[in-house]
Amino acid sequence: MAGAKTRVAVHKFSSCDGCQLAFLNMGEALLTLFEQVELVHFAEAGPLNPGTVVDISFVEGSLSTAADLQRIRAIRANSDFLVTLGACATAGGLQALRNIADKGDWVASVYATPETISLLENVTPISAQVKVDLEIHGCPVNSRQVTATLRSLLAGITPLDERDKLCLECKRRQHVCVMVTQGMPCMGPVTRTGCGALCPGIGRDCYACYGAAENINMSSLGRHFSTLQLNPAQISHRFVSFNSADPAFTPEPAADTARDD
Amino acid sequence: MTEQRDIRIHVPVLARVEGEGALHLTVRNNRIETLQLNIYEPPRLFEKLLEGREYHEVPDMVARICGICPVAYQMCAVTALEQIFGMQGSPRVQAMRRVFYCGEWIQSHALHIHLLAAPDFLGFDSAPEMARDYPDEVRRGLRLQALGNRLIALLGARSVHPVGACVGGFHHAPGAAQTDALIAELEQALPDAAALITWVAALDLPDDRQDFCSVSLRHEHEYPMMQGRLVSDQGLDIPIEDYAQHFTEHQVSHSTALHATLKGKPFLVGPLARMNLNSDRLPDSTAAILAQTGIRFPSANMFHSIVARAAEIHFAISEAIRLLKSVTGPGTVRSAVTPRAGTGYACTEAPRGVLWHRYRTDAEGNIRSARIVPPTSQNQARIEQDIARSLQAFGLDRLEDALRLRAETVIRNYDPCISCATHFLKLKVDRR
Amino acid sequence: MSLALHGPAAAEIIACKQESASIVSLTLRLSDRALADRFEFQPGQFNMLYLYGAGEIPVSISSDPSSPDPLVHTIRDVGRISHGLVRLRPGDRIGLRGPFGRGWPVEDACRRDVIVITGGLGCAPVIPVIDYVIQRRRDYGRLIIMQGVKHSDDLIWRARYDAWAEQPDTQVLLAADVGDRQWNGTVGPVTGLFKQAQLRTGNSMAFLCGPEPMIRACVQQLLEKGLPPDRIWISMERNMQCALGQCGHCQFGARFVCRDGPVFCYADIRHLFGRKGF
Ligand SMILES: Cc1cc2nc3c(=O)[nH]c(=O)nc-3n(C[C@H](O)[C@H](O)[C@H](O)COP(=O)(O)OP(=O)(O)OC[C@H]3O[C@@H](n4cnc5c(N)ncnc54)[C@H](O)[C@@H]3O)c2cc1C
Ligand code: SF4
Ligand code: SF4
Ligand code: SF4
Repeated sequence: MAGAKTRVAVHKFSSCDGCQLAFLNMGEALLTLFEQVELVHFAEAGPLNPGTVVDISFVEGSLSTAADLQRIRAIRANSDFLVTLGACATAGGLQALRNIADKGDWVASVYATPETISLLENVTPISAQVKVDLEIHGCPVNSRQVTATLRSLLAGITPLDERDKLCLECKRRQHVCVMVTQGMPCMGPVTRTGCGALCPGIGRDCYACYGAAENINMSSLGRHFSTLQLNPAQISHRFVSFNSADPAFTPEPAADTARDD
Repeated sequence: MTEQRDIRIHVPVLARVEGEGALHLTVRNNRIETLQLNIYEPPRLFEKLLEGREYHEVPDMVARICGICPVAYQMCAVTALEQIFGMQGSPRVQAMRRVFYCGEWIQSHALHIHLLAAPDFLGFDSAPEMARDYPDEVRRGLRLQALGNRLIALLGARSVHPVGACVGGFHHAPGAAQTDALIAELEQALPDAAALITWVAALDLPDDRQDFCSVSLRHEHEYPMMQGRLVSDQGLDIPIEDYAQHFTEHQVSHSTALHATLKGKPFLVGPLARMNLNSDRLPDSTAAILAQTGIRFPSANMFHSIVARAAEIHFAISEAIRLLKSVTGPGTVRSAVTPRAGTGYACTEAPRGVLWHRYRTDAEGNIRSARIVPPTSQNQARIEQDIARSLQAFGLDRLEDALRLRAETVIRNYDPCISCATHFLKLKVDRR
Repeated sequence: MSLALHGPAAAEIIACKQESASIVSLTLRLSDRALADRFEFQPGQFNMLYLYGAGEIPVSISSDPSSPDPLVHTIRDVGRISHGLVRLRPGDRIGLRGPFGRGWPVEDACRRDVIVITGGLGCAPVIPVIDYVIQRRRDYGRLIIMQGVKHSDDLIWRARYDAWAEQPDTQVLLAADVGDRQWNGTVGPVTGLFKQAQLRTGNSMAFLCGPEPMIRACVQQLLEKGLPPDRIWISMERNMQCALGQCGHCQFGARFVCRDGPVFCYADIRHLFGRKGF
């Protein structure tokens, strides 16, 4: 990569655009970014070259149509290093909830002539279709995460895959535990670090927008939630929301609880 | 024009808009044959996936409809649900919500003006290019955007999908020291915001006057944000609960966004519509700067939207300063919620215009049904109408590139949020 | 203690020297000249070197404390951040904070014999001690330098060792587990050098740095030869994040390597040293 500037693309699939804002919300540092890399394709910021060969592609959003599949394969073929950005791209996002519902019904209830809407059977994360070099988790990911990734790649080293549990970050920031002190059903013990432990920091329980951490014990947490008076449906809502297509969050903790009791 | 000219323009992905869409335009013999704002972003079916969820999950879920205006979605959701549960935020909570919303206007408008719209008026393809010739202006814009983000984060811990708001109020009150620091920053930013109004007013904006219907909220004495009645400049004046009786949404085959019409006709929502209907509600300081520009509201020039945005940034900063002085201190900012069954409505002014929500809950507060009408689907028909009229006025005999750029400029001027509209934009122009 | 930069200050790489296949010395200079003028360090102290956005690691300062500008850091490419650091080129910038930690008690060693025992790149943090002693040669007794490497190719700074060996009352002993044909030092572990070392343990102070098994073996030898535990000093390495005694990553029993170390007196840590889990 020495000499010529590193070529970067930012692509979007089905999403809310929130993860791309990790770039656009950098403030004045955005100008430094423009200087350090060549932004070849980033529709929202201006440059349009979706089909060009690049060093690094960031991909936001989940795949939900046949055209999406073709597009992601082309992006993969054109990219040296492919990074998925956020829950939609790495774990389906909120829209993947439709995977567990009757789709025909859903579309019909929102659109009068559902025939014109062509959807895939399931919303899938990018890694289900093509090889992904790094997954950045979060809904949304933040500027610190994308900067760390970009800077690592520019320095020629492997970006860090942050897999610790949120609780560690929470303790390091010396927040009072909302689960222990207030009995809130905090998802910190199974959630991936990276956000800065924002929710416990303002006295609320984490709702796992950063997805699953490594080596988690969902059923144990599910059982604990049932002692906090959550019913099985409420427990499953805790796990099945923003990262519902993440295999680590798919077993039904509620069913587990029922069996154990 | 002597010879017959058929032109096909194909712009597969429209740049500098939020979300994915295309424009399909067929010009035959200098007449527009078809013109479609083609929104192809796959639908995310939010209304449906809310069903069965608990009321307290709604604000965080609807936020994910749009990364650029999550506060608008959260504020609509909490307001509508609180209406069902027979409660209303305390005056302090209401002030906090308005400040929260001001942060979003500042952030979203600054982003749109500098990164999305201004390059069109200064002759650049993108903000990075523009930044080379206009570094100070771009820096000022990025500073304002960052300030808006910090304001959101003060109350919501982060600016995209903030986590601070809930049905009943907020999870925490901002600390006095942080609040004071932010008030100081906001005060320092006022001159930047004033300079921004002057700068955008002096841009070489096309003078394209059109006849259109503006729709927005209107409040007894405030510049509208979260409260008021729905009004238009053609005589509409209704309580927000009656929205569905006056506005109709229908599906068009070229778009995954629903089109909304008022009495069967396109209408405009957003900063220009708000300004056209409420410029008398601006604080004196903002009005004075605006008066010096020579631009008057109401305005029939659609491109005055960018001026309206700049003025709203100045207003939102002033408003946040005024309100922030009262939001700190002891005492709770969260009231207990007793769920019950019912139907609730909310209508607020998202940065891009009127956002309307309706929810039905069961006795436990679980969502039975939801209906969400985002601003961009309301503007979609109006955008198509505007492109047609603008191109006609511009001259359909112009070069293809010029036509395409003008069409894109018109679209971007609306700051369409295709993610919100559950769609995305590509431009396809066929001249045959 | 001198000023410590708690937030990273920009520093520019002004020279890079490939010492061996995997070891690079970076010469760098704080970009803020006023800061550079105030920057001082003790032998054995370390800086946190920050590869912008990617991460930072502790690295000992291997240059002479009497001329703290520019600074030299010698880095072995072992993992993520060190790999990025060894690839830097003159003109590149990194962030630097420091100096941190407690260095070697060089003043307490005054008028004593100084025994320096190092293994592998463990020599880096002790180089400033040797420089210090040599500059004040008359204030110190005999200087004995013992250095061990895995393979003779790993020995960097050969010329420096040769130059030190020329100094009065100075003994330089080198050992390599595996030596190539040109190797004229001892073949075998560094402990094998004790036979040749002219130790006078009655009035000596020992400074050790290197892999922990090697240090354990050498400490054992020194104790057996009669050196009291409070005159054995060891520089410890632990994974660090904050270098400010806050994060707990480098905790060593009741102490923090970053704040209470990296140099510890053996007498203070012998109950933990070499125990599994510490
Ligand atoms: C006070 C102090 C002074 C120091 N002075 C110096 C100095 O002067 N020069 C110097 O070169 N070093 C010095 N170090 C050591 C240096 O800080 C470490 O080598 C550095 O932190 C390694 O970081 P890294 O990111 O390069 O490697 P990391 O990626 O963190 O790897 C560290 C080690 O773990 C191994 N490793 C990495 N990933 C894995 C894995 N998945 N599984 C198994 N093993 C793995 C690597 O091979 C490597 O040996 C010092 C340390 C301290 C505490
Ligand atoms: S992961 Fe979340 S923030 Fe990112 S695009 Fe998807 S919904 Fe938006
Ligand atoms: S508050 Fe949540 S994240 Fe923090 S320690 Fe407790 S369980 Fe973990
Ligand atoms: S604490 Fe949990 S829910 Fe809150 S922002 Fe962090 S990961 Fe998301």
